[in-house]
Amino acid sequence: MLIPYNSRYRIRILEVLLLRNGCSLRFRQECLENTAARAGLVEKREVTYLSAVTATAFEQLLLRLDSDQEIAAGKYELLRQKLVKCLTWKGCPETEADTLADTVLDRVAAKLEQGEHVKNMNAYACEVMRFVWLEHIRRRKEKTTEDGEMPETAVEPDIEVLKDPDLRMRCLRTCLAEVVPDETDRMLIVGYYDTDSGGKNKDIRKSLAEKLGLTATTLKVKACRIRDRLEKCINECVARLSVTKTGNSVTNKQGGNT
Amino acid sequence: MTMQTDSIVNEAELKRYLYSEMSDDERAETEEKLFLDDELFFEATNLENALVDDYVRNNLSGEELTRFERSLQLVPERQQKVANAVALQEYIVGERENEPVTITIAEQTVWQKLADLFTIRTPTFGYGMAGLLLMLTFLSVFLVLDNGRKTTELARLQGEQQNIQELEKQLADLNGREGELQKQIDGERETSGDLSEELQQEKTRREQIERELARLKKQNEIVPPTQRNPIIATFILFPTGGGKGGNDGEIKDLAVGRETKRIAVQLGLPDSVKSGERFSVNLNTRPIARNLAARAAGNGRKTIQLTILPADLQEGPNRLGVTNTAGSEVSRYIFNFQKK
Repeated sequence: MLIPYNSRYRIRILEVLLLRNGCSLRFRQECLENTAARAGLVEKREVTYLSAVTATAFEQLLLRLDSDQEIAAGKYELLRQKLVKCLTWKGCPETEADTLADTVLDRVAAKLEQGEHVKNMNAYACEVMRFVWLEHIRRRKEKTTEDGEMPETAVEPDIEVLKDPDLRMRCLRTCLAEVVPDETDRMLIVGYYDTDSGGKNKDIRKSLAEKLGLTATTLKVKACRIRDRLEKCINECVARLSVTKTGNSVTNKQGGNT
Repeated sequence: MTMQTDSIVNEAELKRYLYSEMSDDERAETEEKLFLDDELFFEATNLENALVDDYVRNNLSGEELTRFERSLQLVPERQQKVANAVALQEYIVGERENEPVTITIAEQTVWQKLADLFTIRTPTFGYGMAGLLLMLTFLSVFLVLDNGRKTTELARLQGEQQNIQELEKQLADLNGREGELQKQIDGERETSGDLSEELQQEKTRREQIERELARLKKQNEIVPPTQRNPIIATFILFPTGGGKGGNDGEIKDLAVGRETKRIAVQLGLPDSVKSGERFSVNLNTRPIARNLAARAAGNGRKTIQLTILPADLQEGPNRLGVTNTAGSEVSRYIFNFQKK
């Protein structure tokens, strides 16, 4: 099954996974084409196009993050996660934040390829993110003015997301199996977030950390990462199923009228 | 992986950031800190999750609730988080009701912790553990079999090692033996050199002897009288039996003085003999000359000449026989010898 939605992000993650699994940067294009297309994650033409744009620059970016490929992949993932989070905290929808984060990373990579002296990669990426975000807002304003629509920020909170809890629960169960296949990780997320607000939170989480042989900080980081992954999956799943559901109901309605 | 910033961002500041209550400059400054400090970034993420969970559980109130709800407008993505938190809470409650997760604060021993890992909490976990145990069983069997195979292999390798050691020992012996043989060969070569020298000497000596023998043989050979000197007595003999130019049956007497050293004898041959024909002569059946050529005398008669030592003759009758190359006697001569 092809995933047309947010495939760019998937390719990026796939790139990192391929690097982690020993696929060298040199053969990244080939690995992506064969693995991604065969697995049905993305269309082959899409992989070719994206990789061709950033092949050398992407390689330099990873090398700049760390000479060790595995560590570089981890740092790349974290940097991308920070970009997406900060963009969403600025008010950017997650789907757009994904694209913007990739734009930021592409620009950073391009600058590195051009020989730009970058003292600190994280600080530099943060600065580039601000420019990209300002450009994005400007474009959005221009677009909404042209269309005669009001800016997105002026819209009332969309409580639509709460209207179909069953769909979301179904997606949660699917995503738990998909993105949290490890039983310990599942235990971790259930244990970590099965708390009420209050002073006993600290004790329960401390005990959980001891039980899993982790430090409190590591447990917190791990829980955050798993939840982030899980929520991303749920959001994609809900979006996908909502489109299908809407399509079906429109079809049924039209069928009923005739 | 964590990078510490110079200034510490407290929870209140993080809340202001998350609620979008900061000015652009403050916001930019906080963002940079988040990018530089991984721990701070996860602190902020964790705080957002906690605020969302508190909101879902109705734990927020007053100004905090107002601030949070206002942030839902400024950060639309947080609405998705609220919805997800509702689903997650529902799931966790469901899990708790089915098989409550009990977390004991009391200190656990290592064995208890280990035993806890094998506690079946969910059917899936149970199947997983069962699968794991099955895999461990297969792995154990495989390891046992593999161990046996490796032991056999080790024994075989040890045997081979022993063989190699034995062969090496044999090789060392052979090398020693070769050294000895080489020494022997060298010794033999020296001896052989001596022998060769001796042989050469022997050869030389033999040649000398042969030369001496040849000289002596030549001395002993009966050669024509012209080649010898001095000739003391000369006789002409004709074959016995008549008809063939003999001396008519008369036996001649051959008397020589005691001082005579050699006797020259001319033997008349039958008429059938041609000039140049070769003959041998024997005295009293003992060969005394050979390969003598027939020559024509003044009267045309064919003769051969030879020299006889008086010591070779016996007192009284003696017999001379002439044979051709085919071994047939062609004539014989009988005479009485007497020393005066």
